[in-house]
Amino acid sequence: MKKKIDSAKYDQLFRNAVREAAVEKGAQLFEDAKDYDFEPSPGFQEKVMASLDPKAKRKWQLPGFLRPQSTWGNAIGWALIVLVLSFLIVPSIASAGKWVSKLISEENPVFVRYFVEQTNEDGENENVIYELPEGAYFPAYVPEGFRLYQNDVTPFGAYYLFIDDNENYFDVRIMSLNAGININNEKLDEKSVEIINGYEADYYSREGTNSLLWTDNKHIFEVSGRIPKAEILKVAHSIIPKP
Amino acid sequence: MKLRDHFSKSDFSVEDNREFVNNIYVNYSKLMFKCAHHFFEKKEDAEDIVQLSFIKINKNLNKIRQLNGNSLASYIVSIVKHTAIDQIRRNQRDRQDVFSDFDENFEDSLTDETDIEEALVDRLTESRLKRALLKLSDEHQEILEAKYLLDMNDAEIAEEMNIKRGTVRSRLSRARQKALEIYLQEMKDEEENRLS
Repeated sequence: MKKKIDSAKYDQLFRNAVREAAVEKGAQLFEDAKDYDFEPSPGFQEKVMASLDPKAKRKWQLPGFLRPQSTWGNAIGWALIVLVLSFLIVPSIASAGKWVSKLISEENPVFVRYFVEQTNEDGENENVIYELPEGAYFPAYVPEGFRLYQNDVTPFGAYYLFIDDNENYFDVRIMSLNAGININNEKLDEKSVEIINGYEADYYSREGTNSLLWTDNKHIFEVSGRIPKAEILKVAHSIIPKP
Repeated sequence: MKLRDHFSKSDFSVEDNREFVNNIYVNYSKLMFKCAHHFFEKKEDAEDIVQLSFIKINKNLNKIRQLNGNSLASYIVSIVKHTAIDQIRRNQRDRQDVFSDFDENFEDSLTDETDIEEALVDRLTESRLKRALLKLSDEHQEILEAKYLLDMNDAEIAEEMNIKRGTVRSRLSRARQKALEIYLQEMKDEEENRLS
């Protein structure tokens, strides 16, 4: 005997399976492209960005509240990431004012899924949009009032951008050792050496943007943004690999 | 408001979107060039494809924002591939001034999805279905991704893939049916292996 499957259930099943398949396929694409070497024409990136905004004759710029950071090499670090290193898991609970961000892991016999769940003060759960791959680093501490605004986790690295209601922001980047970062040394308000989880870190403060960079000899870490130095350090200390 | 809803709203400023697209360039352009190069050997042609792909990406930012990491990579590569195939078709049309709708008409003529055996309905699991999906043809994988990964409607998929709306429906139906056939075959094979 044959029967039609319930269409909503059927759609949901396909939706979930397609998403799982896409994650696996994407990982394979990155793996396949690992050794692919291609250098676009000079200025190609700028040309692409300009083509997306026909009104803009000027060179593309970062958003206003991020602009002080644009001198930091326009995310050149990201552009140069080429090596895939395994990231370790950081279970985390991050206080963020009304919202609490929590890194969740769900395990079944087939796979482990990591994602950020956000809960507000009424106990309402946010949906699961940040499916972090196994091994991703994550800042376990987030200053009060900040919420996760954007994140991107690829086999080449991880990026998290947090903002608060006053457009203060900070971001966390975890990159491979091949990454390169240009730092503007001009007119620094402060420069110091700090110790983060046993590693020497360089702290820079310039035009209200504070940044901290260090390496554990496996990855390069950067915490940067418009938050006080003490908070930068607390966030940095919270980025630790799973024991 | 759910975070996904927040990201679905078009409340991102132009600069937010530029930042997002720029991040896509930085993180995914290598994959995009690799895919474009597969179709076009010349560097300039590959760059044109990547640039056209970014225009498509830019049009679907609100939906693409819901993806990240590997699933975003998968979708972006599929956009590049479609763009490249479109371009090849255009080049051929320019040369021959003939464009055959044979494939599309053929798909339009296909019947709707067949019934699924009850036993299979009860035994469908995501992980098994995922394995079956990964064995589908690229064409079928891509239309399922557009439907279920980006939640595009038929009209949006038709525009994105440059096919007729009727073809979208029939191709989706064929893709799902094919996935279930693979699924069923794998189950049969497993049972046979167990018995032997």
